Amino acid sequence: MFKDALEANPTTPLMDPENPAQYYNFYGQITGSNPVERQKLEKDKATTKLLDWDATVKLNLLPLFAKNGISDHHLSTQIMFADHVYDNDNSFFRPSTSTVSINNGQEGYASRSYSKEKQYVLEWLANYDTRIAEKHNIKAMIGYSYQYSQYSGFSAENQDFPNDGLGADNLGSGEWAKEEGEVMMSSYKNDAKLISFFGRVSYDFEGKYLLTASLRHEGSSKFGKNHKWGNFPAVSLGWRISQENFMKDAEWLNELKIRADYGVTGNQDFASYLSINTMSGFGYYYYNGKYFQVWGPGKNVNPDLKWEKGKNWNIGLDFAVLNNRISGSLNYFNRTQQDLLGNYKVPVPPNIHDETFVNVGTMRNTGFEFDLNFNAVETKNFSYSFDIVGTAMSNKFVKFSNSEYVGQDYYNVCSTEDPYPYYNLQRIEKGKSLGNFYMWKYASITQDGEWLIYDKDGDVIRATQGTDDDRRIVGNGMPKFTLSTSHNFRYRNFDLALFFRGAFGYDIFNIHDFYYGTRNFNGNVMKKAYGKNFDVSPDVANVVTDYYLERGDYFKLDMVTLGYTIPLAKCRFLDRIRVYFTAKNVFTITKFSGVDPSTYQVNGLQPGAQGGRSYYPSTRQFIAGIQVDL
Amino acid sequence: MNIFKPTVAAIATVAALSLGSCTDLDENLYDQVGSENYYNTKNDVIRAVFRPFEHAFWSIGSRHVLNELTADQLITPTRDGWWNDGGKWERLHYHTWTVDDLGEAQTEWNGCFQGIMQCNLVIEDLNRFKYESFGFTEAEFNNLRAQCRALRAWFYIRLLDAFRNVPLVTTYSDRPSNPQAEPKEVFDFIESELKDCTSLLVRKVGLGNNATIQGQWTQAAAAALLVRLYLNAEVYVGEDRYKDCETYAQAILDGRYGDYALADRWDAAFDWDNDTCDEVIFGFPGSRGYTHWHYDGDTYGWTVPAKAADFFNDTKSGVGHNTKYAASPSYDLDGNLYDYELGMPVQNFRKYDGDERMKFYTNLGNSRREGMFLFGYLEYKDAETGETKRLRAPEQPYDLYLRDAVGRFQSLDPTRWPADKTSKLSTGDHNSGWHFVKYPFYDDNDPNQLASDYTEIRLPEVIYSLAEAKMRRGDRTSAAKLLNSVRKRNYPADKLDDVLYSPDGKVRFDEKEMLDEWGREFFAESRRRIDLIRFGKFNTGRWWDKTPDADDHTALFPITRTILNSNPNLVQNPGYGR
Repeated sequence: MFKDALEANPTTPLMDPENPAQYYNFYGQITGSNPVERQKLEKDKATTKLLDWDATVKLNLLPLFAKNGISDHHLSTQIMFADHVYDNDNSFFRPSTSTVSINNGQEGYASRSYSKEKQYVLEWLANYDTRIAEKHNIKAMIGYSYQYSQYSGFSAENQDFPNDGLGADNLGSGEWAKEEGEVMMSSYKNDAKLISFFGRVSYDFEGKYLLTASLRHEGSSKFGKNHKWGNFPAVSLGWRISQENFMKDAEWLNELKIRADYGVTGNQDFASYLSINTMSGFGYYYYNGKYFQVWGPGKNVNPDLKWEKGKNWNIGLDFAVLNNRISGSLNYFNRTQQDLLGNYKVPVPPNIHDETFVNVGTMRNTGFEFDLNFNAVETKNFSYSFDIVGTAMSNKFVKFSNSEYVGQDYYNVCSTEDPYPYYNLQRIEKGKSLGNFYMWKYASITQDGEWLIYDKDGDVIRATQGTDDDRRIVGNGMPKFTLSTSHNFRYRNFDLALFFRGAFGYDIFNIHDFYYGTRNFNGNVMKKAYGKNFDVSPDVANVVTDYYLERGDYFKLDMVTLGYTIPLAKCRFLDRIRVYFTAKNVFTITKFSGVDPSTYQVNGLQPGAQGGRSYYPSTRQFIAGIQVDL
Repeated sequence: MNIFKPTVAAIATVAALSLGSCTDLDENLYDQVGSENYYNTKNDVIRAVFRPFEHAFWSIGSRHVLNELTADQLITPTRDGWWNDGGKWERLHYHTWTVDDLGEAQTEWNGCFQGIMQCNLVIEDLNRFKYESFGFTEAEFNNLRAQCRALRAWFYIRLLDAFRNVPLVTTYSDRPSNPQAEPKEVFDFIESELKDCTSLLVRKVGLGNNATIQGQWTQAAAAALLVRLYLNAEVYVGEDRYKDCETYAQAILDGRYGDYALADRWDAAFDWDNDTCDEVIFGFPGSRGYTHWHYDGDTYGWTVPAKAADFFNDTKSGVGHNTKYAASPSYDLDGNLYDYELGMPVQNFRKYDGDERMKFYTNLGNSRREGMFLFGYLEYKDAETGETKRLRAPEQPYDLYLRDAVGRFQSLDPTRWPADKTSKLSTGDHNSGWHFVKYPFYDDNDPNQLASDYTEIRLPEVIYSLAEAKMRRGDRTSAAKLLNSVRKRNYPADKLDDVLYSPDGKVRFDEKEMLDEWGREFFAESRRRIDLIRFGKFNTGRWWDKTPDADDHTALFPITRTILNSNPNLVQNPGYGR
């Protein structure tokens, strides 16, 4: 909607000048429909019902069965049942008077859909702990968990209704679904099970040396027959140096602990039924005087589908010094995700489809995190504390194939859309980091306003002669460093909190400049089209080059809150009254010339890149409030 | 303390039960069916048999682009910023595609092989079954299996045509990963399969009754595929098989494979009732509600101006019209006729006076149309107000005036020509090039809107193939007569003397006329590329802004990089590099 409003020709009237009761028809413009009309005339409703409940029964077996009810051993068991139901009821209606209906040849359109997500978990646990000779602390736990999920739903739609007053509440009265072959309805249902057995043992000696080991044996219905179960061990070690005798004299030190851990996690987050052979319905074909829905294999089956595993290890240090004035933690992490689950290009033949859902590839993230807290000033009338949290991370796509699935060593991702389709902004490539912008390198613009680029030999050529070979890595959209910091002040009854965050060392492809920044675009354009980009001819097709690539670094004041606590004379019912004022998204320091750089996604498989020009503005919010404590 | 004991016992029981019964991770299916449980009834078999057929109908889109936009008759010019698409259409037009950017070649390869693997699967399944257990007669069961073999041969002809060097795969469950076969091996397979299964297929008996067997591979349809194969044998495998082409084409004309007849009007094979047209030998059944891939998107729905729904009054059809395809221009931007040997399709039609197809496309009412082209102003009566309007360009404030030329005319007076004389694919606007309508766009009040089937093989192809084979074997008179037998329906009776080839008329028939006539009769029917190749013009020819290629490696399409990388067995076609 924002996108439509932005790019609509600004001289277009809202209402039809020849028929002021009718919204102006945007047909033929790049914005195909009147955004105000859609906002006013279309009824889009969604009702969601969420039910979550759980119950736990816990029994302390020891000391229950111990003599006199006293024991050094504690043994308990519990059963937990949790149920989660999520119902969605959606309806949509567009009246026959809407220009969208008129342009689509519809006398009104309506749909209704209902979806239901059901999940329950049954979990049994037994906990045991004991303390031996006042020094050895031992804890152990075993358990079993059963999780069932089911997704189902149906939808119906129709068009050409006798009366606009019916909305989406009388779908059967529409004419359209009466046509032969117009199905206008659908339903679906699928489910999955996840079962695990798990156990954990932890031991510490006088709270100084800590050891925990665990194992989870987990199975998911989604994997291949012989690959359903996976084992996920974890172990962690810790040493609280500050508890040692030789550190006892160091009064400035409140806490010092070094720790290391290693663990394996599993991922089974994908659709059911990909490991078994199934037949699905497709379109229609005519035989013996009637149409049959045809049936065939809906996918390439992969009976070897197995757990994607994450192998993670961390080394860290926790500390607190100077009477806990300064505390924090430092952490180095290394996370390797292997047997990545995803769709993979496979040859036809021998396959029947050109993609199979497989376990292929390895990706690694390594980095360093720190979290520092300072209680800088603490007096009766004034206090100031702040913290700084930072992460430096690097990524590498280690492998892209295995012995069974060999494909290319790269994938192009993040494709552009009309009116400049068929370009990709990024390439994910073996041995390289995610977020690499892979495109032509901009050289200059000719007198005629044509784009010039560098070819692979470094010679300047016209972009119209550029090929895939001339593309190269021109930047990366994954921030090398992210930082956030919050500051809290108090002066007498006033309090002030500031929260800043920022990301540094990365590039963003300015997608709105790409679409709206030249005179080539057939709609509303930005000032730049007649300013810095005026030399680009309106008759020359736009091309993806690093001309639109900019540094994305930013630092912003994300939130500020000023409060005042009103001093109260002793009052029976009121403890405290505080008035406050909050502003969110206050200011951003950046050299990026496009929209708020923090609206670009920097996680996921295509950080810093957005192929479409959809736009939702980042808002600045002001909140005033009164907080009353009774 | 006793009261706890039953509680403990209950908990222990629940726990034991859940542990005992709940390690089961089998999957339950709801809205799909497990393959091993699929076949139960006769209809289950029918639904599985026709899955590759339905896929085949879908797959015609990529073939259309590859065979028309690389050839001399159709163009996709840039229009006021539309249809540049990163130079995609230019690369097709100028034969400068690479292994990375030819998406349609990838779709063609995968589309055909998917169809082949679907056929292989069904054939294997049928081989396992006894016809009686599903209530088939032996003949019907064998017919279904033979039809799958014929369809598979049709896919292989397309692969031979587009890529030539392809794996020959005839099984499914053993997961064949064959390397590319020699083209001759593929050719021989197609030939023997078609010959083999012909007798098992249905033979059409009598006229006017095609509807009941529409969409089915019949004896004549399989024989017509052999005609197609033999006509191009010299290109495909370097063998002169014109004699065989003649034999099979003549046999079809003689009615040996069933009863067929030419329609008396050119558009009957494309009209809403073409399922009853005796000229149609094989067609994919289409209907407004079920399926109409030839109308959808980019085959025949996008051969008209972007806002053509106003002109046709067919918004309810759901065919989102667009300007992808237009006729390559005959005029330069001074209004002078080009003098290229190729291209200029409109001029080729104009050459013979009175051609029915040259009429302005008009819906006549009662589910009939006339004419094939859209040109000049496109005037229509507004459905609501009744006033006469001119169709406008999208996004731009000008009335369309379609010209047989490419340039930036916009609102320029029809009698004038623009100052910028550059006419090439990148310099068009929405007026550039005549548009055309092959399958009719009937209006929203017409009960037969979108009812046409897609005609894949029609009798004129057999006649033209026979004519060409005869011409190549030196019998020009017979060739001319054969072509005239089709051509005469396109012109008024009093002009026939001026338009028919001698001896029926005054026009001299030669090789160029043969190629031009392929272009007229089969205008925009997804075959122009191979006709140019057969006449040695595809790489050496010159039309409009297309100059001859440096070499002829683009006569075959590349195996795109994604396909090549996913299958290390494959070797790239010559001239493309890996």
